[in-house]
Amino acid sequence: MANTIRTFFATTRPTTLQATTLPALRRSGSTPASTMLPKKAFKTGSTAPEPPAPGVLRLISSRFCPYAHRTRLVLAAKGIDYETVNVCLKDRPEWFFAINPLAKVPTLQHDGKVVYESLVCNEYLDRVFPGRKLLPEEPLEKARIGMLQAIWDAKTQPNFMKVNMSKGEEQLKAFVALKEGLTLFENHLVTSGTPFFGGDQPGFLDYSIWPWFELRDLLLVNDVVKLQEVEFPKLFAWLSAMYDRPEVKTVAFDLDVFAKYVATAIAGNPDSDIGLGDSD
Amino acid sequence: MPYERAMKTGSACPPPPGPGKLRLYSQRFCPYAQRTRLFLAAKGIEHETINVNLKEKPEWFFEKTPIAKVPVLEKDGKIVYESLVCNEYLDGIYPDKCITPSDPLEKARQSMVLALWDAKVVEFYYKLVTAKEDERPALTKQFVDGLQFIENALTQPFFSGDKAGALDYNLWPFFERLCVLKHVGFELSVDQFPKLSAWVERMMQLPEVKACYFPPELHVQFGKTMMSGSPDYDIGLKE
Repeated sequence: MANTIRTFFATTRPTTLQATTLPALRRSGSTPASTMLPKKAFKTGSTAPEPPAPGVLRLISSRFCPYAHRTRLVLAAKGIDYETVNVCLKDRPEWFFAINPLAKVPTLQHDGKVVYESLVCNEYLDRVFPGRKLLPEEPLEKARIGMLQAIWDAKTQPNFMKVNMSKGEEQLKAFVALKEGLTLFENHLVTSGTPFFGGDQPGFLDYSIWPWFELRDLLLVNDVVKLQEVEFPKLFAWLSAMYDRPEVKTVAFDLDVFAKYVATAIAGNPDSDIGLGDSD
Repeated sequence: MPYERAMKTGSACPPPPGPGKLRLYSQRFCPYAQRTRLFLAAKGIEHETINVNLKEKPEWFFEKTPIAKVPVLEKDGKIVYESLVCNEYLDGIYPDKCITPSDPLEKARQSMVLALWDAKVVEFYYKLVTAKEDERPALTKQFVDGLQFIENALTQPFFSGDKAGALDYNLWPFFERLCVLKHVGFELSVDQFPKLSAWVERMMQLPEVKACYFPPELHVQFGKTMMSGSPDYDIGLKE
């Protein structure tokens, strides 16, 4: 698993044009737009899909990206209709750079507007679409979410990756650092006394950190780096509670397919279309 | 002012600020802390400042924030850290003269420009400061290419529109420090960056920017102490 995450977050710019033909799409006036979009990832050399129809929200995504998953979770939690265009993150389509100069997923397109960066997308969706509010209004509560997010970014998520990518002594050190980072989250749940970081229901932060927990068995592969319930009782209860959520189930990663994807990435040729049928 | 000198390892934890009083933990040369100082100045919020030595951090500082970075706000037992979180928090608790955009798309746009800044410019900024002579041309090109995205994002007099707003204050500290790149051959040229150059002139006229401003010589002087490995956070303070 050593090179997994490096290749999986590969940010290779397209350098060569490869002829890629779009799979034949059914064209019918009565067919909703979303069925005309392939699930297969658009690559370098591909023709850009038509922009989304008026009023249609499009998510540019990747089936195996945890950052895109944050936005899928929020879309599901708020019951927002959307269509998906998948892009290959190793061989990015040139047209993607015209929409988002960083050419990263998730990217939202909506009536000519473009929003990118997962947490910017999530806040935008939360404020613009009706339904349950995922971000607190109260300034200190909102700040707490921002601070925990900063701890996640600085102390927790990087150590999930380090544990995955290292071995022996280095791995154990990273695991200790990961647990320190997780303790701050555990303590928050102890203080709040609520099942979720968002309170009685999951909120902005729950969805932001969830993808790494959903992938934890693929990230923390050694027995010596398995998280123990006795050390993190609140977090384990949170895990259970999150798995029970319909929105989590709706967009959940298929871990078997994900593991296969990881294998192709280790082999040096990540296959973002793995697990899809010919007509996808 | 007793706390202007940076407090370091071994120092006693300062008593909390009085009831209703706002305190900022800062470092005089930190661009991220300056973002919050600009918001405080723009909003006219009274506050006291304690500077912290970021190389020899006081033990008590880790109790305030596990990330042990500035800026940190403290008021009535509540602690907030992370520059952008602090800035939004200030708008939340002092709603007069709100700087954070209220329109969700505009707020998203400003966040995306900052993301472009972080991805395309900041890395090369820091690398360029410490670059060896033969590394400079390539890094300068990357820095200049990145800065072009920011130039392109400036479509009005200020990043936020007719008046300076959140994005202007969040970007300004880095432009105030561009002088430290002069020694590696980079200067913001009005030919290459006409909009950014004009924006810099406009920002320098603003009272809140002047209130937090350090002249180029001081930034360069501090920068040299950073590069030497012994940052002098108190440089420029009168004895």
